[in-house]
Amino acid sequence: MRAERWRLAATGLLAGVAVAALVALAAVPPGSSGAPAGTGAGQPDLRIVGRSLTAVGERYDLARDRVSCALCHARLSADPFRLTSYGRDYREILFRENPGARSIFDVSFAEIRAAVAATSRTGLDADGDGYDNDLELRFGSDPGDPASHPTVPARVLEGYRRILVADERSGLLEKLRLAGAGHRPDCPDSDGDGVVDCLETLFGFDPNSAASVPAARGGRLALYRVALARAGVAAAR
Amino acid sequence: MGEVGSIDIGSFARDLHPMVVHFPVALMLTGLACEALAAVRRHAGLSRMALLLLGLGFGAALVAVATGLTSPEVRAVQHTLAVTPPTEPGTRALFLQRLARIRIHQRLAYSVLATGALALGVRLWRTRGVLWATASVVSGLALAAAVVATGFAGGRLAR
Repeated sequence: MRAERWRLAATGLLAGVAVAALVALAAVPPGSSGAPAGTGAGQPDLRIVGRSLTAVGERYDLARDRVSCALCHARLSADPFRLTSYGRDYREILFRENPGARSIFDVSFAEIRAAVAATSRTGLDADGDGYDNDLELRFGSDPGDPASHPTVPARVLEGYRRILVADERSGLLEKLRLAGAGHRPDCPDSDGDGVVDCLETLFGFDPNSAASVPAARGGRLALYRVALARAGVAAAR
Repeated sequence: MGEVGSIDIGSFARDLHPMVVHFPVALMLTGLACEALAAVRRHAGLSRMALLLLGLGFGAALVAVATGLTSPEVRAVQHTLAVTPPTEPGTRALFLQRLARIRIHQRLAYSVLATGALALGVRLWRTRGVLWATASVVSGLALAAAVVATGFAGGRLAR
């Protein structure tokens, strides 16, 4: 009798779940018709809807409020497939290495990371401004805009990069980070753009213009500054 | 899209769903395999084990559906569509395609719950006889198909 009651209760529960599931199934909007037409609120989660941008952001430790879709899309509001030179290079590499992909959603995040790495290989300069993509992203300028590059000469930044890459490989950069080298240096931020003057000057940005701000996080640049100072770079002291 | 941030937003639900979904797939398919083995060998213990696995798998499926529904992905894709004007058909097409795939996965997940409830219900009441045996086989196959299809569609989304 008790087992019978238990069985009836379980059946009732299962029937309830089945009915709810069938109602929910019928309520799922067919395909894409559930797309809203108005302006939404809040920010989309870039880890989902902008995996390419996320991969670049992760690779170069870019500040989330200083990097946007404009990195690859020249005029997203008018034509999403009108790409910047960097966007074109990235797209070409991504689909060349994944020939079966019809859209970005057919490509895994690992493949996106690999394409971002390939687009950032040393020497590839999408906008032809003399600063290669890796150099621009590493220090925070736009690799798809020839007007956007640090004022420090490219050969100087290339020297910095050699030191930093060697430090990355030896693990020194990570040791410095753990020792607190990524903290904000004790110098003013004249233009209030969130990156202090000594870092902006060192990496070729205008410390008196909020419009001239590196996309790389201040903490990353502070870490670079300490590593460069240790390597004897006078400008970093 | 303008200036967009949130590069490293952590989402518990988003990270939890891909972990949880493995349980219903493993438990339900193992349960059905145990049941088939129990029927062949006429092993009562194995049959009870199969029912237990199916029950646990059904519970895990409920949790998986709940975590899937709270995942921020649908909201994120819908938001992107909302802020992407009709003058950008290419971008809209990309995200509409993504949304359509999510909807397919969602429908299949609900079908797992429906077929799972049916399969368990049949197994709770079944007695000896051709009718109940047929009902068991049909509901079991339907459940296996729904689980496999849902897992496949989810796997495509996770790529």
